[in-house]
Amino acid sequence: MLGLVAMLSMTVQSQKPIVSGYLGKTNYGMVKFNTGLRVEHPEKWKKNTEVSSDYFTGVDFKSEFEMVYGHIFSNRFIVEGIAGLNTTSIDLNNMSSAFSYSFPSGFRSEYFNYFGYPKITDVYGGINTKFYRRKKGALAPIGVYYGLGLNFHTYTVHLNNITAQIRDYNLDQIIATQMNYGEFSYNLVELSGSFGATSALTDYLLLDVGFSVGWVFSGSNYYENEIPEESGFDSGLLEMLQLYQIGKLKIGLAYLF
Amino acid sequence: MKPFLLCLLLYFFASTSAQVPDNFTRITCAGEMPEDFRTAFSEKYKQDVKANQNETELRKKEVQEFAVLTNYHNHNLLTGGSALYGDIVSVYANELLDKLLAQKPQLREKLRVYTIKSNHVNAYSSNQGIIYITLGLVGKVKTEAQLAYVLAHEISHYTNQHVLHAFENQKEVWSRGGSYRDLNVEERRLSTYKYSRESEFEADKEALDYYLEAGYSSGDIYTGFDVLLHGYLPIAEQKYSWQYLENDSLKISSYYLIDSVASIKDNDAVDDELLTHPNIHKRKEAVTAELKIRDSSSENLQFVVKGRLEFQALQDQVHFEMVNTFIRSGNYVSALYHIQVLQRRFPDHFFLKRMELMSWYGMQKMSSNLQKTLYSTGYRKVEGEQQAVYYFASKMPKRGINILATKYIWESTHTMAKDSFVTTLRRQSLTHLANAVKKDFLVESYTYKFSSNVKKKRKPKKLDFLKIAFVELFKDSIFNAAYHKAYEEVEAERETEEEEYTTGSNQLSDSYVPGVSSYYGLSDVNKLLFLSPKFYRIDLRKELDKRLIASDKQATDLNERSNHLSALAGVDLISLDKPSAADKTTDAFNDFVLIRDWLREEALYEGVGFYSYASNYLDGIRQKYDTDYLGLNYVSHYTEKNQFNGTYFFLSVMSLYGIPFYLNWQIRPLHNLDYVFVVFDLKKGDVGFYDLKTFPAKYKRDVINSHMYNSFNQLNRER
Repeated sequence: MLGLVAMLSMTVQSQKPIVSGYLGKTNYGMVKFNTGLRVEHPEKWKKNTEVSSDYFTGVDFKSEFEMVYGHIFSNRFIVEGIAGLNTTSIDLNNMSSAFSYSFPSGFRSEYFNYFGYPKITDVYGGINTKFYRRKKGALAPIGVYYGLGLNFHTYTVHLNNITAQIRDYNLDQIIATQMNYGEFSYNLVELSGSFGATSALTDYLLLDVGFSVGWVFSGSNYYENEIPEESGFDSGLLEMLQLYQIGKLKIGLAYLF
Repeated sequence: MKPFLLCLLLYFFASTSAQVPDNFTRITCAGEMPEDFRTAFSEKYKQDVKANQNETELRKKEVQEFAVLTNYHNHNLLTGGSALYGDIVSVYANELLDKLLAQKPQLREKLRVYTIKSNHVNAYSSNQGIIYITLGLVGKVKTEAQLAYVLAHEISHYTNQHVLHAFENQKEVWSRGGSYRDLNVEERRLSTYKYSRESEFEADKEALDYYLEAGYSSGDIYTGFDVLLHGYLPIAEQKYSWQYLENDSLKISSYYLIDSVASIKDNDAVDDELLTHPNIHKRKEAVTAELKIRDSSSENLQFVVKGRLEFQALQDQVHFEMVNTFIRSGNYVSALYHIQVLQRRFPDHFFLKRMELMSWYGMQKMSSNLQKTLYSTGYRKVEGEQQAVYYFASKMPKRGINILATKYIWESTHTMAKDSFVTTLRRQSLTHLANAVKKDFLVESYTYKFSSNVKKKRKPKKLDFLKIAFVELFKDSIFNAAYHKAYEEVEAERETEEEEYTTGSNQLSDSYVPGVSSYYGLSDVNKLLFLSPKFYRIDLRKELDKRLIASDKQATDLNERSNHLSALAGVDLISLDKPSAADKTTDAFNDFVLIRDWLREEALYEGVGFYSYASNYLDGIRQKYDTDYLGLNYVSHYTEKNQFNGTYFFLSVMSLYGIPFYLNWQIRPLHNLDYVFVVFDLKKGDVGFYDLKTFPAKYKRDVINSHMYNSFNQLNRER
């Protein structure tokens, strides 16, 4: 038998195969849960609004959900459409580049040391391509893969009810005050690379576990709606979002049809 | 003479002729399928574990190991198509058991004999009460008594549980403690051989009880031992004649003919220290000593169950099956020799003629494939008259084989030209010839002058004596036309290949994936004969019995899934060899054996257009199951420890940061997964579709599901 196999391997022929998908099913809808360590992005923004950083240790876990539609185009290639709505926050105290701005001396007062965890909503959509590694035995959508993705994010920062410290030089004291800057939207583009593996739980259910590395960079609107007092906020926010998106563990449950 | 008397005579004449049919009937299974063939391997070994627990002092783990190893071997033989039941040989052997154990009905109930389709002379028994005998043994014994003694010997192995005790002995010898602890490896090995030889003596001795009680001749024990001693020889010694290849003008050059064949060695007292069986001399002496102290009032019969003529008729069928087996295994030299031996008794026998044609065709095919051929294995170790054929085949170059094969196939089939088998052989032999021999080598008339004064033992230059081989054939217009057409076709094919090579039109349209090779030549197959998928778990980190259990478990799962996945792809599977099923039938099993034989014959030539003899039976199979396709599938998962790599270790230590990576690499075992799915087009006798994949990956059920479904899906993609 081995001889037969060796001989057959030597024969070079090819025909165009059809797409088999998984047991004949070439589409799937997937719910994905993304998580990972989050630094400087506390998850507890809803509960804690006081001016304090004691409750946040600086490390937390992300928790995002997204919806995915995937179509299997060949035995090695899948394209996914992704849509997601995510809520996160930032720790203003850590946004040193933005809010540690010092006014020139001579001013009567200056804002510094902003505290708070403003909510950020992220509405995003995009496409993700998956290349299944056939030399590792994969046959789309089963097996190990690597992928490339392009996502468009609209981040809305709710800069309300944040606390700022005002140093009043005349009085020579620091006064805490509530600030309401309103909402600011930013459109960002994310490029991501991913690797992972998909396995079948049943004939209809797939489990997809992967890790993605993303990088967001400026899109439209950026720097156009700056916080009046702090021109460095935008760039500070971008740095934080880049840090946020840089690595995620993604776990998805897909239904094949 | 009265008309009815004439009719009666004619009837009997016809009947006696039918005993040696002009055609050949394969030896096949018959009757109800025994439990041994039906029961799943997992059930068998579990039953054995229960049965053996109280029979031995082995540990529980060892009892399982013994049960698994022995049952797996049995199961493979029984379900793999090598063993036959209810066939003429098995029935006869079981009748011999009836006779030998006439006074021991309880023991008789525990034993059964099956036939192994092998030309080797052998018999063995298992701890489960199964005795196997080979066709080679039955074909070479001279009397029924000789066969009866072999069976009696195997019965003794069973009653004394020699297989189990040998296993116990192995465990004891190779254990760290115990009475063997002071012995070195070599001494321990010799000790196991010694134990085995003692068991053989014991079996020889006890066999006399059954044998003599049944009335068999004590003299046949000695001649039976001689059969075992010379088991490697053919069924008879007869000088091989090459006359059938020659005519008035063409004589085989003496360079290719052996002067004198090696004499048959008669040394029955070889050093048996490294053998599991005592030498024949010692066995004869032991039997003689035993016979002296026994009552020698035996009836001294050579034939009890069958008469001499009946026995010979059975042997004739076995001999024909042996020739078939030689052909199936590519041993054409032995086939040619045996055919000529049989032709002395059955001249002009249709089946033998076909086998002779097939032998020459096979030799031609093998020589054309530039492979190391079976038929040309060294002649020096061969003894007796058969050596002449081995000598000829070893010395004769590829071109010579091609010319002689084509010449013989065409010259000897004038009256068989309408036979499709013959037509195919004729056409294919010419194609091989045209590929191997330049056209201008063969002359069309006797005007060619060549030196006939070829000195002895000097290789004739360029096989000159064969230049005139086809002169007579060229007078035949049919041959003439076919000959020139074959050369034209081969030439055209070469030109096409050259063109494709230069233009690259035969390159892959799909991108290349390492480890993946697929050919999807079929696209509308919705019904498929399917051999049960096999799974081989080869985990070198684990003991063999664990691997076999895992293999069986996965194979069972794979079988179930193959039905589910094929149904999803719209392919109707017809399984002939279900691993265990109540509805298994003898009829389906015979078909499976036939297909297995065909596959084995095909595999010899690795699917390069060989016209196997077994393919003659395929038409019946195709019609019976209403499909032209046969599929097979196997998966193997191989695992081993990663070997220590000094360079990696050194580099990682030097860089420090590399240590975690090195440790990760070193600790992880190596995996390899093979997936094979092949579909044969039975009508063409060739491979029509395959998916061959090998990955450095672990076995995962869903991955294999995916590949298996894909294979079925591609096979029926035009649905």
